[in-house]
Amino acid sequence: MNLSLELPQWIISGITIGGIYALVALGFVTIYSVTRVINIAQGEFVMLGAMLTATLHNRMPLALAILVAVIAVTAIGAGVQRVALYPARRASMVTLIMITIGVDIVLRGIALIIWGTAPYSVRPFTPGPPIIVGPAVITRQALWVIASVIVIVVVTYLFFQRTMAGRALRASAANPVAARLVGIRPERMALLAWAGSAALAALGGAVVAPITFATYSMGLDLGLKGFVAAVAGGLTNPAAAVIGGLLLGVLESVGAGLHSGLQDVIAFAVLLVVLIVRQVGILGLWGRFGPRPRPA
Amino acid sequence: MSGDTLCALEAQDIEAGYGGIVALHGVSLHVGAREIVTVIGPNGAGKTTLLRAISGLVPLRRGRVSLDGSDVTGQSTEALVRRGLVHVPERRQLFADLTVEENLRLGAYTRYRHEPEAVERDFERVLELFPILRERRRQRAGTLSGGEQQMLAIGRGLMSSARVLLLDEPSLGLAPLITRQIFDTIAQLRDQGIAVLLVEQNARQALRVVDRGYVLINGRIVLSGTAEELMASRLVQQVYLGALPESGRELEGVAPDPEQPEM
Amino acid sequence: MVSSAKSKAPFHVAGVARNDLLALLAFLVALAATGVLGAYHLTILNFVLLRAIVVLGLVLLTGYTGQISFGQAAFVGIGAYTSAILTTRYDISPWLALIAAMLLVGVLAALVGLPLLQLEGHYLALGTLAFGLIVYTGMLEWHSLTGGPSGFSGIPAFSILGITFDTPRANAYLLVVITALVTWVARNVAHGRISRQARAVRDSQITAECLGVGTASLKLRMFVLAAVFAALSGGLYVHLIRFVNPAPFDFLYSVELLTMAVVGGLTSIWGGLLGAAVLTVLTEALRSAVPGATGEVQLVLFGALLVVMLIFWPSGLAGGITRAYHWITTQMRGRSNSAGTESPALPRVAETIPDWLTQSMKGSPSGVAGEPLLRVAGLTCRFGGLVALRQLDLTVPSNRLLAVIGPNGAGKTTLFNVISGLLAPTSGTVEFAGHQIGGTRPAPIARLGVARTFQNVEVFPRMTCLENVLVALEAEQGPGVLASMIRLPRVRAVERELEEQASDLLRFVGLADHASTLAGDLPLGQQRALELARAMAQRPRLLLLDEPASGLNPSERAELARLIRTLRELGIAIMLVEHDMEFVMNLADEIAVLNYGEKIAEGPPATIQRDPAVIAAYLGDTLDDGQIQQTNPGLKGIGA
Repeated sequence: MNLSLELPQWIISGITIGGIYALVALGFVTIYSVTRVINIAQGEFVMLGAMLTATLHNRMPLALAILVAVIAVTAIGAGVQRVALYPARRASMVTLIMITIGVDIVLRGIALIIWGTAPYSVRPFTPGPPIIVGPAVITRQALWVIASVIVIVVVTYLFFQRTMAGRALRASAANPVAARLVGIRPERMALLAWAGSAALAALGGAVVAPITFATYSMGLDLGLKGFVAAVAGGLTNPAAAVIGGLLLGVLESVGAGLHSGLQDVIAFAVLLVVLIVRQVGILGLWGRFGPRPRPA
Repeated sequence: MSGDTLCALEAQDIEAGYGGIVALHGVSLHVGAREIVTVIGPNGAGKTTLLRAISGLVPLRRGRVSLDGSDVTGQSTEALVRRGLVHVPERRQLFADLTVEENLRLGAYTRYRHEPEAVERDFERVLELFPILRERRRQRAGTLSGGEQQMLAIGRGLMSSARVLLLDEPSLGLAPLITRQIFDTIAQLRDQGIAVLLVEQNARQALRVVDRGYVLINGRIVLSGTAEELMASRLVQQVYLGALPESGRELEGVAPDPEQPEM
Repeated sequence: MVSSAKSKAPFHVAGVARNDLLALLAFLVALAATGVLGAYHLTILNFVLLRAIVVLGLVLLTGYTGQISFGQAAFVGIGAYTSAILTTRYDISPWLALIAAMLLVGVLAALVGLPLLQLEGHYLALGTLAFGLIVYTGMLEWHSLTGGPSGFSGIPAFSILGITFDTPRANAYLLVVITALVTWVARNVAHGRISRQARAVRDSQITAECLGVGTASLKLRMFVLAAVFAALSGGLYVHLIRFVNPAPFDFLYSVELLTMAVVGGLTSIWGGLLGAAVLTVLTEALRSAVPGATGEVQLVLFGALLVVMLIFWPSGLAGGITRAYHWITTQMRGRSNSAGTESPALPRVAETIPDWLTQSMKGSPSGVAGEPLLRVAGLTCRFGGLVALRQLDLTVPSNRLLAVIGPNGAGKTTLFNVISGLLAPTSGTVEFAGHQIGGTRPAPIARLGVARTFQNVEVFPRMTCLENVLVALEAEQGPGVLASMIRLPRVRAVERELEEQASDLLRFVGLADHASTLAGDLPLGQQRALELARAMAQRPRLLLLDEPASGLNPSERAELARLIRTLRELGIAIMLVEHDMEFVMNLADEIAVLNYGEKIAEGPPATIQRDPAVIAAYLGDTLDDGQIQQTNPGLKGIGA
């Protein structure tokens, strides 16, 4: 095994898949920042985006198919928030997590009924041979993935930092009481957060489908990895989530190259180390006993 | 009762509390359109609860709140902001991770779409009022000192073009000099047509700038009157300066306020 | 079993006896059913019982101690594989292998739990999930040990005295007995000292620490216990189906288990059993009731059901059934259940202090100002860019009451937080009874004899008053987890004695009538009394009272003042933070005034009242505003 030849390829594949993890992670961060809920079903939004694109793109132009898919999944995301999360908004954290698990199961079950277990393929967005970069090879679709991730991250950044709605979302997350005091409606923010995350996820699904095929079960794995990446950033830091996703993809890819079957272990071993070091390392012995503001 | 003049803010028979605790018992007060009114009282008396009950952060168990004569009882905090009732809370409740400028602009959240120029003007005005904020406009709000945070909180409240402003302990943790500054600013608000309801622990500073005041003890209004009357009142002296009596029962001998309903 | 919330009956007697009877009945019914059911139903029963065993552990870990685990399936799997490998490859008897598996998992859980339990909430959930996934992958990949994805078979069944347990019925009998035993053990742990500590940690870990409870160790022990239960289930499972592969031990199984616990009601033992039964049976029923669509529709319905249940029935089956039961019995007895929102005045403090309390108080005899008990020197505390305390020097002798006053934000609560161990000083020293306690964790400080109350009353709202006090009394003495599991008679005797002491304390603060009332249902004045009783249970030498009079009416304040004076006479050193100046002036021997984290004055009350710096800081004005003195010649003390 010639590392100098293999490594760049692994890194490039890693960045590609890492980009998807980053997108899923962004979705987690968005929902969590605004509503303090961990949406276990996030991965299913990716899956639905992929499946819908796969089904529709044979009957209409690809761009339209993707648009319809994204809109549909956005609606589903908003619907889930309204129907399953909003009524339970005062419930405990355990209950909320379990509700999203329930939603995850329902979405996956419906996908199974509609599409069955078979994988669906999607044509690459632009046809043509892969591009050679030094010792590595990138497929055109992978370029699409990377490009989309960059665009989405930039757009998301601009949205959150430059628009009033984005600021309001951040404010809602930072201090829900204060948000109400300036007239921001928390339920609306929650709805917006869920819809936005679903849209992001669906787009990610559409873009990655040509590479990974669309199957009803792809959501769980992607969701978990995205979750890992989000947590690496503390669940509230979008930049860290994106970097986390990319790093995770690369680590996985390299690990798989070295010994197949190790992908998952690497992801989670790294995660565990990061989590624990963060808690114990940064605040030392004090951990959760560190300086805490007394609630008013 | 308000009589002929329409009060900017009127609260009647407010009863509110947390869980099994009733913090406010039948509290009534009113604030006229160009008035600054204060509610003073010892800690734990219910002053903060009163403001939170009026602004909808704490549900009312009984009582009514009206704004310019129309009943707004039970409306959500966000809805009240749109109607011009703005609450600047105790301990400020700023968006710590957002910059000073973002905090201020968020104050105008309900207005920025239909009156962008007015919002810009108000933004400039707030920065003139508190020049230190202009200096720190790109700093994260959480890194400001206590006094600066308080100015930011008030500034944010002003950005919402409030007609009634509820200020909860604006002097909290501030040095005497800054407190004076802030109270002078509050006095100016009256001239701009804003009705201010001010809750304060710092009776002396408050009574300097307000028109009228109420004394709240253990969830009940026990005294009300003009600022001069209150300053001269023996009760206020005792509450704030803790003379050394033998027994602890002085407060119970106070006659109830004639404005309040029979208890 | 959760004790009935608002009944006034003594905590243990009636409730436990009746529940014991019901449990026995259920056991007998289960045995009878085993004799009667057919093979198909027996298999379902076996699976219900196997899951119930794991779920019971989860109830203790997540329901009682508040630690979420998405990794129980991993422990089940490790238990399963260990037992399978030991019996097939090393010819060890299944019973021994089972025990070995449980021991191994116990040790592993201790090792894994040590770092993992530093995490909280979502992070703990994720950490346990990660752990579960790593183990799962290990099972898939480590072919030489586990046989990879296809696993291996040939695992022997259990046998006793020549009887082999190789039919569903035989295994059902075995499982019913074992599950009954496990339920009994779990139930024992769920009552008593460990249960109280666990719930205290769940409700407020910080407060529990300040009472002297070793929270980290408790969490770890519960984690290990839950893991051992899981291992037991796994070991039983492989000898039942005599085959093992990784598939059953995936993340989804962990989710299912937690779901069963949540649906059952999370804080209820029998709820856990119910949850396991209901969900397993439901899954089966859906599978057979909707023919032709097989797994998918079942999946959707299951998920939808879960969501609906969680939204409309958050306290789970146990909660709903208990509430219905209470409602029925109340209707039948015609008694009103309200705890009353009218707050009566703080009941009169008992005149006599319990003897055991006076004897065990570690302070010096009353009347004599003892040596300095607490010495704070050069204390500076800085966080988040704010200097909360600056070069603070304070001394508190035993048998004296030092009041700390100052405007809001002056650093008074920060001072208390540093002394009680919730905050580390940036520089300076804190010395208590000859020990350096600056920067130490709260529990050791509490055990040295420092007790405190909180500005926002921190009683454990979901525990009764008696239990609240018991947590403090039992912090250092009482049965551990192992002893709790089997409830030796000695355990019960110790518990009774402690309950007596707790009742004494409640009587002393006037809460004798509310021993069985949930602390969260009490009005504020009584909650503060409870906090005091709990603080006294710690037999403190130093008592930190943070705004104890806040929210109390004048007569309540008078009672509180009497209580505090009595405490001082016991020899306890007291530090008091208060805004009510009358209250302070009457009680304090000495007053320290803080402003912006610095001490600006110190002395007896009369001196402080006249101090111009104090007046300026507290009232926020300079004395050139002399109106007040002139208009009120009757006012004593100010500027005179």
